[in-house]
Amino acid sequence: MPTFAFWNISNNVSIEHISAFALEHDVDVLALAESKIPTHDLTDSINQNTDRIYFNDIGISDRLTILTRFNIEKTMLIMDKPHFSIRHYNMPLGESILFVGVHLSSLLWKDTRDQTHICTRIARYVREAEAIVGHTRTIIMGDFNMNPFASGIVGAEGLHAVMDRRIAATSSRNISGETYTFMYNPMWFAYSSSDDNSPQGTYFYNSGNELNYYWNVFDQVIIRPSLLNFLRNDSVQIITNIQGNTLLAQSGRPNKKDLSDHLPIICNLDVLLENTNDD
Amino acid sequence: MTINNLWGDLSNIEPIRTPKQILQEQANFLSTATNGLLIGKVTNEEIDGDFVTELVVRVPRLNNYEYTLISVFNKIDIYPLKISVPGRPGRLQCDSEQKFVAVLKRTLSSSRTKKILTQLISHAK
Repeated sequence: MPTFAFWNISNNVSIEHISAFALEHDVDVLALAESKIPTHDLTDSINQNTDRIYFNDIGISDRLTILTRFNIEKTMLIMDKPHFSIRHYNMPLGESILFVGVHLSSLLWKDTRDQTHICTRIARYVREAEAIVGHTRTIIMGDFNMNPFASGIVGAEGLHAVMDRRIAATSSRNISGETYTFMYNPMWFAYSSSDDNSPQGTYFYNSGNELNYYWNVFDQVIIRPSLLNFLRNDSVQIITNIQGNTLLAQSGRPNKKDLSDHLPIICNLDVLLENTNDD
Repeated sequence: MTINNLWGDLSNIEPIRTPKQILQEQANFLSTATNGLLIGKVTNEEIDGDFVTELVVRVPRLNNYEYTLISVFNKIDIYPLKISVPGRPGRLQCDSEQKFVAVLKRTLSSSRTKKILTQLISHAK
């Protein structure tokens, strides 16, 4: 059961916390944003406590740190663009997976239109990468600095990631004679939490403006329909504690003073058996 | 009624070099200078009236892995354009070709770019 994890650590989370997070959740691919920790220090620390060691990614990603337990020699670097990285992982069991790590700029640096354009470009490069590897078993994960309802995420010209897996399962739709393939965004679950103790997102920001969401689901997992059969209803989680220690402040918001203003997310996929879901 | 030329003198119009042409020249230099270990490539696309041109380094011996060194954003009138360099927040505005070339030179000859090219060549050998 491969596990993918993402955490924007805000340059503030310790190596010990990251190691504990990776090991507790048995993470196979770990992508971190806003990390200045030397990658070797990170792998050295995690590998002290595990038999299944982590490797450093040899690509050059300016906004992400990527570690993996999959055989690095069987990992194919596809591309590194300013806001995202694409890798192709061959797993010990089952089929290979295309992984896209994303860290988009905040609205401090870009406006909404720029972000939508970037999503259009990510979608195009994902299609290009899928053509290179010959399948669409694609998982996209990261800090989009946009909510799941943003036009860059949902729009057909963007990632086209819908909230309903039944719609995503129909693979594509036709708009004015052009075919647009779907993706599925399971992160909408965060909005349906009825538990008062659960965060209603991954990032809290009180803008003070008239339009104020307070909670945002900036950190997201998006998958292609090819992976739907391997994604259970509880496969995607927003993590709120590590080894029993909460990641939240007393207010119930991310503890940005001692940790990060973002909460980590994980996605477990059931083992991908051979000869399944090829497109 | 006499038909007059309302265009004025068009003989001295000189086309300006587009960001794509300028980046392509540098891409060619890279491919030659590294004997093909690294291939410079320029991509160009238009999204909703915005042109995005990128200088990409392709590494044939790393399964054609691609790393984007510079992204340039402009409208149909080219200048002012904006440059984005990975690892630096925001975009730098250039109001003229002269300024664009100066920023390009500073970026391509920077120690950061050298470090990246060294890393890519090392993996390619």
